[in-house]
Amino acid sequence: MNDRLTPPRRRILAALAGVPLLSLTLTGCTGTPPGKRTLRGAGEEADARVRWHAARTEQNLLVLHAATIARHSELEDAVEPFSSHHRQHVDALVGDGPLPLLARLDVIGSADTGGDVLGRLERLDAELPEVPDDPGQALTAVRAAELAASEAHLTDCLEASSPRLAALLASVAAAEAAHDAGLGAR
Amino acid sequence: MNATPEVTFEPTPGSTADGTAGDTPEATPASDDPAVSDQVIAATQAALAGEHACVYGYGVVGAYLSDDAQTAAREDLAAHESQRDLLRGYLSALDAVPEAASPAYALPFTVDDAASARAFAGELEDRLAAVYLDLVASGPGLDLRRMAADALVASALRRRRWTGEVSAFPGLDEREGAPGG
Repeated sequence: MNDRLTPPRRRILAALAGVPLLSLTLTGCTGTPPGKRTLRGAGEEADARVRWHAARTEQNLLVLHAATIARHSELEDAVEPFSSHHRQHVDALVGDGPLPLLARLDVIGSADTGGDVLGRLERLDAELPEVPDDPGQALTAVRAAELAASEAHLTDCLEASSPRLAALLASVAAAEAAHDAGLGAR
Repeated sequence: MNATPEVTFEPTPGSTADGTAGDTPEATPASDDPAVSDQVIAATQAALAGEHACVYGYGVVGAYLSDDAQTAAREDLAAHESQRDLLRGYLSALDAVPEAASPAYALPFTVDDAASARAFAGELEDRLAAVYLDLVASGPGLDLRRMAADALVASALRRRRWTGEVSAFPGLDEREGAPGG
């Protein structure tokens, strides 16, 4: 697997900055009375939820990848390059804008911090997902999760009010559909 | 291949319509702001230009392949033709004139065997993914956004099949400032 596309977060954010943006109907909140939510505020809050949902989807994929590799080390070569993508997706999503108030990303691995997802899970006393004993079935489960994540991101893409977030989600959805196909080709 | 212009995914100013699709999807942007419509139309025209280039390009790709690979190239060509027609329908629904294909395109590198044909197919899909990403971001019309997002997914799948590679950020990796851009 060619992993030349391992961008630092700032490079992806720079690329996203080139996406045409429309903020035509959203207004600022200067002078808004306390307690009255502005259109922009409502959109940002909704986008924060969309971003959070997408980041959690990526987190769940990272956990499944880590559990699968821990159970079937022979699948590491197939799965780990895509784990790297998911860490980049997490970074891009978190770097795209605010998350909901009080939201925390306890478990997430990132391109910056590396991939010790299992270690973090252990410290949090969190449960690992079940992985089938048969490596073929385990790979099938990863493929199904990638495809489900792709479809979830497409749904999120339609809910995003920020064009930039919508573009990022569409791109992540495309990557994960290709992950499914890539794993199926092995 | 000595044809011009270069395979570019920019809209082609001044070109004329070369037909319309039977489909007339609901593509009207949710905003009445004319600037929104202009941006949506420009992004849709850019995607159409990309599909025109792919229709041309896959003809070249198929010429250097055989057997199953040639069949796959034909299938991808048909998919791009279908998507081209769909985009024409969107533009007609937006009261815009779909831009025409160029008679020929210059290729970004020499294509003279199966390996270079596969690489060219990957290049076509890379560039197409970037214009569909712009279309996703071009406006609030959800029907158009969904169509563009689905097209981006399809492009990433074709790219993987031709090159064996999967991009972490299809459509974004090709941009300036990103790896490979």
